[in-house]
Amino acid sequence: MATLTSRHKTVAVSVAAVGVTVLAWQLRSSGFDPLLLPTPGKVVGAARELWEDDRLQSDIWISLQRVYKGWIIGSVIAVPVGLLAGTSKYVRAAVDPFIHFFRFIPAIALTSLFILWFGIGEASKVNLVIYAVVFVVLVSTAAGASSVNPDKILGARTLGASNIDLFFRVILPGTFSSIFTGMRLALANAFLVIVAAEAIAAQEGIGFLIWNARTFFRTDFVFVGVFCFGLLGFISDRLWKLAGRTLLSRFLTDLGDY
Amino acid sequence: MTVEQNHESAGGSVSFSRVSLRYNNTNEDSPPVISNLSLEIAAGEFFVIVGPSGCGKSTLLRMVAGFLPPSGGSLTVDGQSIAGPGPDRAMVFQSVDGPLLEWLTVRQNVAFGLKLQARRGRSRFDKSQADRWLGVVGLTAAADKYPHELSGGMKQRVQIARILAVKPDIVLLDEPFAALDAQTRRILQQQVSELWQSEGRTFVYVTHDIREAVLLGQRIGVMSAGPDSSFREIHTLDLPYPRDDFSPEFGEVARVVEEQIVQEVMRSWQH
Repeated sequence: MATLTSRHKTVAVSVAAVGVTVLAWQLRSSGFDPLLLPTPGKVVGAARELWEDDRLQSDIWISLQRVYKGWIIGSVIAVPVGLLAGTSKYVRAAVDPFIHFFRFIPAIALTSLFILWFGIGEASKVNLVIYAVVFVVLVSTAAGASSVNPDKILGARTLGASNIDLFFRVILPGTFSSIFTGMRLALANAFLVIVAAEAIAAQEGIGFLIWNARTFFRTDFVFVGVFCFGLLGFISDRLWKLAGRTLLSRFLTDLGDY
Repeated sequence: MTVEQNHESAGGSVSFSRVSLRYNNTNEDSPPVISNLSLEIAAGEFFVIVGPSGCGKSTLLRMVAGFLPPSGGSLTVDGQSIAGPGPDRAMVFQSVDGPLLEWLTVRQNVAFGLKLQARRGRSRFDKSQADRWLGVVGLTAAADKYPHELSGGMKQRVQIARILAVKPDIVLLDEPFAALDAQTRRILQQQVSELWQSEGRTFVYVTHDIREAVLLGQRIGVMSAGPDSSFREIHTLDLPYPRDDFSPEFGEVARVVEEQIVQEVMRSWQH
């Protein structure tokens, strides 16, 4: 019961913080030039307008598809490579120069190159998200795999584990929490880069909505797009956390509850 | 199933002959940690290794486990040289949180080695074996818990159970109870002694605790301070089990062993 009330309290604090912020926004924007700062009411109206045109739904759906596709494909590539880089010094030596070179090149810097290479269709956007995701998950996975407690490995060896047993039964499960956290951080990167990908050479998506609204002086549409990203990211993060808690809880005992 | 039925192993013998070990094998000038060490441990013996910190006690154990190859001399188990780690020489670690797999339940942790062996085709995985060993160490009620729900003493009992379950010829214990409180340690020392007596395996036990050494060992090897350490003296204890740590004989052995270790520690300070 005590935890229930304390949970209620923290939720109340979060709601109050958001409420105060919206109120401050309302006060600052009323009587202000709506082109610079539309009121909350105007943004809600704009969202309704876009929704009734069936635009918002389809933009959200398109953007989410790109984000999730890239995030999943990127992680599927990064996890095995990261596990190998974290456990084999030769694999690490081979991939390290590339990892630590490319992870400092922002995906946004590659937008036009990717459009040249992969065209103006879905491939260039999804590939850009893959690029933004892969190195975050890779570094996190490799770091996790290389820091599995050595006593765990020696202990398994002493019980007769082969290299294959070690990899699949000790190192992989021992790295799940790092993979989970890496993917969580990468999810935010995926959202970051989709704006840039959709700003150039796209006809749909929340990023396109934002960039297109600019040309029609619809600052309220820009706000709707920005809120969509924030909300979708927030919800995605909560869902991923929930998935971790329910499906992977045995592997995430070292993560705390943040 | 009774404990006697498990008396199939007489344990393995270990032979160190003029063994040396340096951590940096490529550099001939680096001083060896262990130098010219010879020791015969008989099958079924309880041998305890004590000595000052850093003298290489754990290193000896790790060599027998197959984690470290000797740099010189010969080290054999039952006359065979050691190719690498294996379940015939299983090890209990000092670390309470390191070795157990925290995503597996207590029962699954104990079954881990049994399953590996079954998959190797050496035997069939027998679920009742895991439960039997949980019973032996008194963890039946905690079988479905996860390691993070256990106390330190319980975790070390899981370690012991999972090691004994794979029926090693040689059980290596590296300060297994050093991180536990005094009362728990006392109870577990008694359990280890009983397990050794009922199982008939070779136990090699490293400790800093002299009382523990005298309580458990048939022989106690006192190592000299490193570098270049080897055995300074090996004491053979002619005391019956269970040992009474208030008896004068017990006290006398403990006094001599302690004196020798203190001398070695002081000698190490002069280096």
